[in-house]
Amino acid sequence: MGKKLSLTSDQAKRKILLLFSVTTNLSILGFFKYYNFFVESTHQLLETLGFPQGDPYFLNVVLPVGISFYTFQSLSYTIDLYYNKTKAHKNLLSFAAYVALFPQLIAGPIVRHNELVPQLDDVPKSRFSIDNFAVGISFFCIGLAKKVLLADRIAYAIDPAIMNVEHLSLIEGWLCALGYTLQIYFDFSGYSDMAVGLGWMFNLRLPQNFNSPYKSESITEFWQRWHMSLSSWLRDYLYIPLGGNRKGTFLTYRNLMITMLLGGLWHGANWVFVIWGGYHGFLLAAHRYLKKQHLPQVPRQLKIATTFVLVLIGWIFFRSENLSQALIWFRSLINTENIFGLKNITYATQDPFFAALVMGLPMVFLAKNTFEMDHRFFTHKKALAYGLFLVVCTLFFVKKSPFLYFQF
Amino acid sequence: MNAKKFLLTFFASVLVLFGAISFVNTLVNPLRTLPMPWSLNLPSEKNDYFVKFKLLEKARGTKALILGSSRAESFLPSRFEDLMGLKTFSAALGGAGAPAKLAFLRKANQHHKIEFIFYLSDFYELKKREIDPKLLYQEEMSLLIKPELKDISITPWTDRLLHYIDHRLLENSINFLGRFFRGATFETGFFPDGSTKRSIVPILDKNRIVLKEASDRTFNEYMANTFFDFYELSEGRKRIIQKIVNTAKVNNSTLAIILSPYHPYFENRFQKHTHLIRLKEEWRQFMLKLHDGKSVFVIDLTDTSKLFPPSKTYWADGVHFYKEASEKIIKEVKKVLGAKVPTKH
Repeated sequence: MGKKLSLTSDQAKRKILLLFSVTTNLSILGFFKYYNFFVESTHQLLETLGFPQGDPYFLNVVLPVGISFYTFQSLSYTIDLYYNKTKAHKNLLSFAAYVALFPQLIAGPIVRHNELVPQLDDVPKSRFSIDNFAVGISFFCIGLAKKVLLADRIAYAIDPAIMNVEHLSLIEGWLCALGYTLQIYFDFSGYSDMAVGLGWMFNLRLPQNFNSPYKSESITEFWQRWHMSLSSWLRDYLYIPLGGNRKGTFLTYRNLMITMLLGGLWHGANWVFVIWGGYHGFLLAAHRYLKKQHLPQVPRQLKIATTFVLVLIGWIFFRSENLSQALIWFRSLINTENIFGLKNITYATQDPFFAALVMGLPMVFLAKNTFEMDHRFFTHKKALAYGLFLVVCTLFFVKKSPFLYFQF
Repeated sequence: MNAKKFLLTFFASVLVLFGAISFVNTLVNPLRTLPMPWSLNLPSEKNDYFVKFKLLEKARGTKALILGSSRAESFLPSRFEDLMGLKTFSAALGGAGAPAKLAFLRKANQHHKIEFIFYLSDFYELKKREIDPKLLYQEEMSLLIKPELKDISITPWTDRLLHYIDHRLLENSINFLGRFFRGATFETGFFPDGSTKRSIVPILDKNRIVLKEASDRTFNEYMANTFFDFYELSEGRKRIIQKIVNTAKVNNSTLAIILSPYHPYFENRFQKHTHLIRLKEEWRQFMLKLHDGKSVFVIDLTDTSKLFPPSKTYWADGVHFYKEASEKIIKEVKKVLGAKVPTKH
């Protein structure tokens, strides 16, 4: 398809080829990821409207790992070809290497064709480089430590508590929300760092996916710093084609909303993701509106804190299994009948949990992120620290703990 | 510093650290899972198993034995004696699985003429899992089940390899070595008949318990710690239960195996985890086959709704019940067994 697109100059034919490619890619994604969701939602809607219904037919298929990521990569390839932003692959192997590059196959970052393919094609660069390997080790160990020493410690404490969400005290409700806010960052950015590190080991530069998102002063800035490869993908292939901010205020808000709703749905076939996307779409539109109102300046710290709390509230939708669980969780945030109870965060997990919070909070607000560090400045201390990270993390390998974004 | 030296330092530190951890774990070998030609003869740790072992040894005239986990702690030996007419010792212990039960039974048979065994069984005791380190730290107890260790040890070589650098093993090793050097102090939490002074069931909180909440919490804890990777019944564990049955038969003891109930709140939570419902049924079928109606009686009490209501008078949470419920169960067992219950001598 790519070859044909690049060889044809007839615009009508190119459009048909593009449509065919986009439809095929989205159909595969839709079949595996959204069929059951669509059937169930339609069934419920018809039932609510009073139409008699039989049992809906659900598919019992396993969701291929990383399907959302490599579908987007394939889509970006054909769209870029259509707009002549990139060149077609000469062989299938080269295309397969682009789509299925193992470090980032499962959970990103979503790599653009013109970012990766020139690197894959650069044969002299593919020779082993001890410098790049050392940089890769550095990225990898930091990512691993984020995942195992911080994200997992938090998960073991809050997962059982969130399962028991109807009994959470006020403090537990907030601790779970705060915990998940840190967990998802350390888990996902840890994975991205490891992917980038593996890339370095193979002389490949994968893009930065997180740029200290919780230091953001606004929700717009948050989306420039969080899951950057997805947000830039949505911007380039959805928001801008919809018209972006070029067609007036109302349509800009509409475009933001559509982009974020679909961005939410991309995460999974569940209404909570759609609501999470809609919530962020609303916040982005509201921020855009407020920016134009010439409001008095507020201190930077207050802006960061406000953005953090707004993002934290959004994660409650994102983490909940369904809308009713999310609402019960929100209720616990104002549960004045039980304020200080800590029964649902088990005693055994409390110490590692609080230790992870104490370490994690300064890291997200004050410390440099992995890309801001100088990985080429090699010291004995760093080598020993990374060695210690690797060993300590390996000690915890006995308990299974998949990355959160593997499910998407 | 150049990248080469950086990598050399990195890999050297990784090797040294892994080596040190493996050395400590292999030296202490606290779970007896590492195949090594030597043995570090450390003194027995004075843990709950140690105390119960000593109490069982001294409990003269014991004729009945209660086997079970924390759930069986509410079966008080004194009430058992009143209702069954046999001097009873409770070997129930929090977290005690089938291997511990077998060890207690063998120990009891060494010192007493056990006529009646009351065995409270749960389906998750057939999960393949690591043996409780507390049990293996108890030298005498681990020797009693030495022939069965191959059934409860970790067999795949990858798991074994990971065990050399397992953080829990390391923690256990360090704790154990620490106790070895400092000398262990241990406060017994049991009465001479094996009943516990500090039951997991919070009797004083009875009026404050919200059963639904307590039940949900226990389910979540079980889900996080026990059920999460439980997909098949362990053949090794089945063999250990079979050995308990054989030991009872060889010693002419009457064995009553009670298939434990769960509170309806707890039971309802299984609906979302159909594999657990299947495992529970497989366990039930396996246990029912052990019934011979002569010396082994398997009493299916998975549904206790006819015996007592699911109220907080009887239930402390989703799995633990109070002595009021235990008494009803003992009476039911007596009714089912009838004349098969040995009478007081």
